[in-house]
Parts: sequence; C-alpha cells; structure tokens
Amino acid sequence: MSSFTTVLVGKPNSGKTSIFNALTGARQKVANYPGVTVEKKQGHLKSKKHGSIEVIDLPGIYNLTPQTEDEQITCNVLAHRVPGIARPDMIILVADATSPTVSIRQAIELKQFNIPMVMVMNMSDLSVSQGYNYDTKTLSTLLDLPVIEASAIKTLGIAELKAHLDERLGTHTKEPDTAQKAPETDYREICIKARQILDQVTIKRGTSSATTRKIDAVLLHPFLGFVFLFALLFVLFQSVFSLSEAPMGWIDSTFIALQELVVTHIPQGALQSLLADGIIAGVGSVIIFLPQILILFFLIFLLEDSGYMARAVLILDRYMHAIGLSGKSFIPILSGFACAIPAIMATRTIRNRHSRLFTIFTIPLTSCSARLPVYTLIIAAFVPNQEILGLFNLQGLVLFGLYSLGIITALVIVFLGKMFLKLGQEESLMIELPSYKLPIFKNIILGLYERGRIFVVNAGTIIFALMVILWFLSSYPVPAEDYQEPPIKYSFAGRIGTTLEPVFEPIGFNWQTTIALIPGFAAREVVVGALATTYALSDVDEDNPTSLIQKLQEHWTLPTALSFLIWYVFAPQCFATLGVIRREVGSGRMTLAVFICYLLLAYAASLFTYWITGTVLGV
Amino acid sequence: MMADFIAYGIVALSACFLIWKWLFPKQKKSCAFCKTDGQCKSKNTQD
Repeated sequence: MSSFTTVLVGKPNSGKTSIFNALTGARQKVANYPGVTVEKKQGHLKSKKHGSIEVIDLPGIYNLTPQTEDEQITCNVLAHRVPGIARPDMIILVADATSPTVSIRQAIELKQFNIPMVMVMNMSDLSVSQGYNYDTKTLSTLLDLPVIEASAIKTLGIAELKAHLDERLGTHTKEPDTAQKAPETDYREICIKARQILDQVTIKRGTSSATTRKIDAVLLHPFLGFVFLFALLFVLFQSVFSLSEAPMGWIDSTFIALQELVVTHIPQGALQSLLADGIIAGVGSVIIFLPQILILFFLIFLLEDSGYMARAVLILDRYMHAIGLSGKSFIPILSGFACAIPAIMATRTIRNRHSRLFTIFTIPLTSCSARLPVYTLIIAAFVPNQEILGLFNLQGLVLFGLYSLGIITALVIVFLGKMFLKLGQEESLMIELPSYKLPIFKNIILGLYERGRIFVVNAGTIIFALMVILWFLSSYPVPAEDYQEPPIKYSFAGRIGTTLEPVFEPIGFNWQTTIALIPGFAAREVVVGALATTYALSDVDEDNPTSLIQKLQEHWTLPTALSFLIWYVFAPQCFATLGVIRREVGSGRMTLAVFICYLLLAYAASLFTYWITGTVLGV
Repeated sequence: MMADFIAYGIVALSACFLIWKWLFPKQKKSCAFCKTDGQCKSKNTQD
C-alpha cells in the first residue's frame, strides 16, 4: 500500500509517459505525437524515505475544462471526484522545454487545486540544442514552485526529481474543502499572465522553428505532402516483404527440420502426429511471421518518433474534410494497424458521441498486425515475386492494396453514415505538431520487444493450446483401415468442415479451409496454424513434410486465395475486439449488429471476388 | 503406449488451459476514473 500518490500532468506530447517510465521503470508506449495516453497508468516509485510512492500518468490536457473523455479522466483525478482514488499528494507538471507556454498557463491553473506541485522542464537537452534558453530560477520564483530541468530519455534530472519527491512529500497538509469541485478560473487573465511570465524568463528564442518550417513547407504541402505520404507508406509495405525474406526462410527451414527430427526419432503414433502435424506445423507457421511484424513496427515507430505521424494526420485531415470527416477519427483508425483494442479506446478523444460510435464500428476494418501473417502467407503462395516497371514488387503492391482496401471501406462507411444518418459535422482537428527529432533507439527497441513478446506469448499459449485441440478434433475418431479419403475427413473437425462446406463453397472455401476458419475466431493469426495442421493431417506423404505455402499451392486456386484475402479484410474474426466494442459502446445489440454486418460484408465481398476472378481466369 | 499417454496428457492440459482462460478472463473492473461500469480497463492501457 502506497502512502503517497503523485500524478503526472501536462499537455499532450510533453513526455509524461517518458517521465513515468523513468520514475517507475515501466515500459509504457511513448510516441512523438499527441494522444498516446488516453487512460491513466499506474506505477510505483521506490523511495528510501517513504517506501512505495504511487505514480499515476494521466492523459494530456490543454486546460482544466475537459471536452473529451480522456481529458475528463485527468480533471476528475485532480478534483478528487474519483471514489477510491486518493487526492494527489503532489502534482508533477511536465512541461515541453521547447514550447513551455501552455505549461506555464497550466501551472497557474493547477495551483488553484492547492496541491504541492513541481514543474519538470522535459526535453531540456533538445531545447538547448535548438537554441532556446530560459531562466528557470526566475520561472520558479514567478510561479512560486520548484522547476527541474530534465530529459526523461537521457534520464537527466530524474534523480533530482526523485530526491525532490522524497523531500517534499508528507510536508503538506491536505485541504479537503477544495477537493470536490474544479476551481473557477478567469481563463483570459491566466493566458495574459502566462504570456508575461514567458517573456520575462526567455533569454533566447530557438531557431528550430525556422528549420521545422522549411521541412514542413514540403511535407505539409497540400499536394507534395500527400504524394510524399503515399510514397512513404508504399515503401513501408514493400520493405515488409523484401527485408523479411531471409529471416522467414531461416525460421521456416528450422521448423521443417524440427518436423523431420520428430518423424525420424519418435515412433509413429499419436505423439509423433501431435508434435509434427499439430504443434510444430501449427505454431511454427505462426511464428514464421515474427520478422515481418517486427519490420513493420520498426518502420512505424521510426515515423512516430521522428514527429512525422502527427503531420501525416494533418495532411489526411485536409482530404477527409472533403467527405465530412476530420483527422481526429483517423488517429484511432491508424492506431488500428497495431491492434484494434487500443485503437477503439483511442476514440475517447472524439467529443461527438455519434462520430465516436461510428469510428469505433469502422476500426475492425483496419488491418491489425494479426492479419499480416494471413495476408503474407496467401500473397507469398499465390502472388508472383516479380518487379513491376523495375520499381515495385508485386507482392508488396498487393499487401499495400489490402491495407488500403480496409481503410477506404472504413472511410466510405463513415461517410455514408454521415450522409444518411445525419451524424452532424465532426469537430475540427486541433493537433500540436511536435518538433522533428531523431528517433530514440531505446524507445524503438522497447516498442519492438513489447510487440514481439505479445506475438510470441500468444503463439506459445493460446495458439499452442488451440492447435493441440484442433489436432485432436482432426485426428479422432480414427476411421476403419479401408476408408478411402484422408482420415481427417472422418474426424470430428472433418465432419464439422464438411457440414459447413455448402455455406462456404460459393466463396471458394473447401472443408479444410472451413475447419481452419473456426479457431480463427479466437485470434486471426490462428487460422494460419489451423490451415497448417489441417493440411498436414490431410497430407498422404507424411515422410516428406512440405511448407504450408507449398500445400496451399497444391490445394487452392487463385480465385480461392483472393477470396480468402478479401474475407480476412472484412470478417470480424476477433472476439477480443468485439468484447471491447461492447464495453465502450455499452450495447450488446449494437455489437451484434456490427458483427453480423461485417460477416455479411465479408461474405458478399468474397463471393464477388471469387466469381469475378473465376470468370476472368476461366477457373 | 507411453507416447500415446503423453500425447493425450498434452491434449487434456491444453483443454483445461483453454477452459480456464475462458472461465476466468483477466478481471475487468468498473473504471474508477471515468466511472463507466466495465466500459474501460481500470489498470494500464493495452498496447
């Protein structure tokens, strides 16, 4: 039990989470754009004097008049309106040293809560390198609070901050009378006072803004900026294929060698089949996509950390206004590239409830990282690895197309919703553009470690267990010796697959594919392992294990492969996402409606793809 | 015989694991911050 509670407050993208990580040793996601933290995060700082101090990282705010759900969280904690959460003993106001105006204003506002406060001028090193110079002693005197210069990334000033917390915590008597309501403020007066203080403490203004303006003149240009963004995303998806080829090959040959080892050394029977066809084929076929996931996120983290991601949102905002949307809806949709769950939570920054609901409903269409293994497996098996015009790789082009298809469909659905359901105009996007900076290697490594860990742990637990059960259902009951078909067809799973086959036959899925779709509802990437297991058990030549890609090439046609890809762009195959939608919208009926609509959309789109490609190719 | 026993043991353990994960998912308490019952996670954000 912690005796003291401190809260980190500040404007968005001031580096609160970096300070939080430096104080508590946590590894929360940080990025160089606003709105990364939409929920409070708790951690503990070990103190020699006070034992354990609770540290709470709160979502960024610009002022104390909350307009969105994430800002409301911060204001509720500060005003002690949250049952079960102690009134903070100390506020750590995190200021961006390269742009402290908002933070000075916040310091004046926050003082009215009568809670001890310390101001941390984060990114001081960057501020100095950009030529800024502030008189922090005068700032401290004028604001009547301690000011510490720090750089969370380089852990500069963190020891001083810890020592300050040790020294000041417990020396202030709490005043419960101010705790129940937010203070009344004359906002105009506060802004004037903040500007006056900034003028008094500024010794030298930096020159970075001029450099940033020059870069932004190109990157934020209405036309050139869009062309640059499009080209950048295109290169990103090309790189996912070209850079991952070698490591994927190593992993593939390792798992094939393992299968051969099992077949050679373990006598034929249940254990050999479970290990070779169930566990190694199933889990191995999922693990093989780890390099692609790491490469995709390495490139995304580079964009985030450099400060470009906020600009990408701004560029898209201009175009999205044409269809009645704002970039505010696009930030959560972009977050959906990683996982739909935090993306759905990121919609809390949207004020208009109808807009928020519609954005939530479209997020499942954004291709999350779990879909990447499915896409790349099918693309590698059916799309030739050839160059187009000597520039583009066809496989990368198809991957780019699949990601774009999900996003374009999401935007079309929101647009139609706006048009027919009269959802009203979405609020304008207000986003503070961060300074450009070199990406922090440590942040990227930590981010990649987290993504890799989630993927591997998932493969080693849920996917492992599902593959074992699928193997059992696909292996039993054992048919009589004179049974002519592959034994899996006689099994429980085979019977389920053949029963459901008529439903999926029109979209080109055979009974093996139908079997694989069912465990795929637990997590999308499971379908890859499930396909590997079902085809491994259907294989008559057990002594020569082949890769899943080869098996698919033997059993599927191109229309089936394309239909399967389209199914995975639209199908709501993730129960965890549906669960979060249910919690965030508070309606089971709406969630069920979303599930059914996307299922029908997936079926219709796959049917159309299968029919059109079949007709064109004459298959 | 022993090999079969191990295989069925792995199947049984996997089934128990999945049932356990299904019956006892990570606890989702009502959020003390936005005061919406079960609509957001009360602990750290998911990444």
